[in-house]
Parts: sequence; C-alpha cells; structure tokens
Amino acid sequence: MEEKLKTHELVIVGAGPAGMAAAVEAVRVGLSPLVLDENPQPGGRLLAAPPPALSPPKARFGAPGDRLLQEFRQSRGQLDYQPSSTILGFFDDNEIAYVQGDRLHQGRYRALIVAAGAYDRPVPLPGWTLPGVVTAGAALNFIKQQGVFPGKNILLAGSGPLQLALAYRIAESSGRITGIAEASRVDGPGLVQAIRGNFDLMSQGLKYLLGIKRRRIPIWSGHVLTRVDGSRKVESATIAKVDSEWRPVAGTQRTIAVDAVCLGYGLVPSTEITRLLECQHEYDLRLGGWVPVRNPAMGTSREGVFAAGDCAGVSGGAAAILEGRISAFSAAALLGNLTPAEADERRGNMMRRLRSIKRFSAYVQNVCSPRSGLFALPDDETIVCRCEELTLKDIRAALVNSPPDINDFKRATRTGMGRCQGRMCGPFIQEVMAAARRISPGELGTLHVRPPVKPIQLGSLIKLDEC
Amino acid sequence: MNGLRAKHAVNRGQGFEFTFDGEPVPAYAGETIATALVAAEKMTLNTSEKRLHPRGVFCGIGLCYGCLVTVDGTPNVRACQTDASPGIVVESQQGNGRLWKKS
Repeated sequence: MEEKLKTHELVIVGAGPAGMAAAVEAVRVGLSPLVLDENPQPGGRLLAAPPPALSPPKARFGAPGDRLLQEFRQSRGQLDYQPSSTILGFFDDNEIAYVQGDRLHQGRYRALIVAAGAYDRPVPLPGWTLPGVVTAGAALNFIKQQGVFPGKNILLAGSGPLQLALAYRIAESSGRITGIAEASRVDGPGLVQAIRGNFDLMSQGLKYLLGIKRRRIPIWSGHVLTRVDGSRKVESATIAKVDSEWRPVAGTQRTIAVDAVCLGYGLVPSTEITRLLECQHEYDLRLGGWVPVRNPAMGTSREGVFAAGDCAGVSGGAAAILEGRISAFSAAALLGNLTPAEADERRGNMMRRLRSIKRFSAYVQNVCSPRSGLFALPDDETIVCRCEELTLKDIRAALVNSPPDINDFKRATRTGMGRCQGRMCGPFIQEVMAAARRISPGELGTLHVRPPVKPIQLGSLIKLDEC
Repeated sequence: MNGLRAKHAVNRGQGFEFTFDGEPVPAYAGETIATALVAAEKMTLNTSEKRLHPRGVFCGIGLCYGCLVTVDGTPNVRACQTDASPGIVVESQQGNGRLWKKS
C-alpha cells in the first residue's frame, strides 16, 4: 500500500489568483503540478466566473485577472487540475489526502505550494447571528456569481476596499444600499506615498468610489456597526461614530431600518494547512492575524513548503498573482527544474514589483485593519462562538481561571471545537483573550489543526483512490 | 417571480421549482439552494441547537455551517455549497437535524 502511492513533483493547493499563477509558471518550467481546489471553477474568490448555467453578459475582471485565467486555461493540458476537491489533511512522509465527490484520494508531494486564500473576518456584535447578517464576501459572491442581492435595503459596515467593491457591484446592478459605515478614516499624506508606482491599484478604488458617490449612497466615515436588531431576522441596525481606536462615542448612535447587513472588516488568512504542517507562524493583525513566516522566495520554515497569496498575509489579488509566480520558481529551483541563478533571474523583476504593491497594501492595512474597539462590541449575551453558542459572558467566566494557552482554553470551553473548526470564533477569541491577559495575541499560540482540515462526509473515507 | 434577483447581473436559463418547508421556491440552473432561498426572502434556514436562535446564511463560502438544511431527507447540507435542482425537498432543521429521517 505504502509503496503504491504516487509522488507528485509539485502539489498546489488553491486555484485562486496565487494558485493559478503558480500553476502557469510551473508548467512553463516543465512541471506538471497537481492543482487541488475546493471550488468547481478556477479563479478563487476574486476571479471565479459564475457557473456556466448563469453565464455573465461579459467578462469583467480587468486585464491582469482575465489574462491569468486565459493562461491557466492554456496550461490545462499540462496540469492535473482537480476542482471540487477538499483537503482532508497532510500526514508523515509528505503524504496528502483529499476528498473529491464521495472518494478519498491519497498521494505524496516533493514540493507544496499553499495558496489557500482568505475569508471574511467574523466580527461578533449584538445581533450578528440574525438571519440577514452576512459577510461582505458572501454578498459579493451572491451578486457576482448568482446575481442575487442579500436584501432589499442593505447596510454595509466594515473597513477597506472590499466593501467599496461590494457597494459598487450591488449599486451597478440596481440594488438598494441604504448606506456604508466605514470605520477607518483616510490618511491623506500616507496615501500620496502609497500610490507612487501603484496608479493602477488606486484607479480601481477611485472607480468604485466615484460610482458610489454618483449614486448618492451615503458613506459614514469613522462609523462602526454597534448592533443589529430584529425578532426573527434583521429589522434594524445601529451605527455610531468612533474614536481613533474604533470605540463608539456615546450619544452618536443612530438606528437605521434595513433588512440586510454586510460585515466587511477585512479578511483572515486561511492558515489551516500551514498550521497543520507545523510551519512557523507569527501574529500580525494588519496582515489579518496569524500568517506563516516566509522568506522573500515564499518559502515557509518547512523545507519544500511554500505559501503564496492572501493565505500568507492579506495583500490583495495583484500581490497574490506575483507571489504565486515567485513561489513556482522557488519550487522549480528546489526540484531542479531551474538552477538557482535562473530562479533568481525570473524572480527579480517580480520581487521589485511586489515590493511596490506591498507599499500600497501596507498603507491600506495600516488605515483599515481592525482597532481594539472592534473587539469590544459584544455585550454579555452576545454569541461569540456560533457553533457552541457561547456568549461573551461564558468566555469571560472561563478566562478567569484558564491557563494562558489558547488550546487549553479551547478544551475548557469548547470554543473552536464546533463545525467551523475555529474559523468563526478563533480570530475574536485570540484578541479578547490577549486583551484580558494584557499580552500580545501572538503569545497565546495558534489553535491546533488536525485532519480533517474541513468537515467531510464519513462515507468518503471508505472509497479510496490514489491521486 | 424574481424576488431579490438583479435583472442584468447574469444570464438566466429556464427556471424551475423546489420546495422549502412545503412551499414552492423558484430557482434557476446554476443557483445554489442558499441564493434561491435568499432571493425568495427565506432567510431563516435553521434554528440553533441549544438556544433555538434563528440562523441563516452568514459566510456564504462553506465555512460557518450557518446555512445547514435537510435536503431530500439528508440533514446538515450546506445550502451555500449545494446547487438547487428541480423538485428537491428542502427543509429547515433544528440543531443537528434528524439523521434517520430518510425511509
């Protein structure tokens, strides 16, 4: 059995911008990577087209995205691309297992590129579990992929470029946005520095902003959503002005009648795979929280494991594409398909361009990443762990006597043990536990990850195929 | 009946119906159960296990398990990750649903 497992030179997890770019470059240097992706179509969150049965009127991702999708399509003959595949886990001796349909597949890799992307930051606040409260990513998915609005009168609350993109997409499809509560405030001088060499990134944001202004959608700058109310679903939302730490200012609350709320406070990197592989991680809230430590060639602390794109720190699509390409050259150098000098040469220009883009994304991160006030919104009765239905009061009570390790805390409370496997509660618990102990969130360590990386159907474990 | 569907965002083919708690829900090929239900303004998909709170779609990308429904007797199906298809019987569920409902 052991001997029969096929060894792939290169496995790429994810077919979003970073994964597709890595695959395209890997093929160019003569590799035939196995590309595993959860979604039925390539593109990830950013570049996925609607399903074939809901074909869009026109392609509309802009030049770099459309070009990458085309490159990926052209590489398909040399790729072993497996869509609708969920990673089960990684095991000793570079073994990987994934589930596709109702079957389990096993194999080995020599080099691995993790391009798992990111997901919306869950932000617990009173009323956030009511039907009608969705993440900005969910709403963007709905409108882009399926042409469906999350409600009739929509409030967007969050910070950063994603919610501008969402507002623009809903508004241009004639959806009704009641208003946009934007927690951050623009830092003019910082912006001037950031846009040098990055006019393309800036112009995208300006296009969204002008579209929103033209439709007279109110933008409440320096405001956060403080609560959502309704008996069985969203009926109203309350916003308030905030100080520089995003703490609501007393007396500035206003309640707005809406039937949908989109939460868009940035993204959290999907680090489940790099954590399972025990790559070294560091905590940086500006990058979204936990991120694998990497060298400039995208290598993690673990030999042969590379990480590219938002799963290694949220920096957006343009950066993800470059990181994907760079990681492929690094993997090729490790595998002997490129000499170190050839890899350096191919990476050189891309690294320079990446540094410039990162200057821009660092600006966005500095302005838009969550401040401490965002983690102080729940009241005693607010559910902060959606799966186990634990309230902030439950969490606080457990904090009094718990040892200072987040995994002991998990065992004591069950937070992080539910179906979401800590994805929804983890980012908040990390912050609130650190604040209570007056230490940095990084000192608490990461929640352990074990297979299955995502819940799978039991039946798939008995139908085994080699991959 | 187009509900919360945008007119021009995508090209839709022939419509069909499935049922949700016994009521007909219109859908189009390519839509997920979640978007067809949201388009019909059916936002509450299940009630939470312990506190019996109403829940619905939250993350929309298959991570939060907030949109669990029972489909043709199989409980704990993520509505946001499952395509709608003609004639399926979708039911809201409480907590973990009933495993042996299928007969």
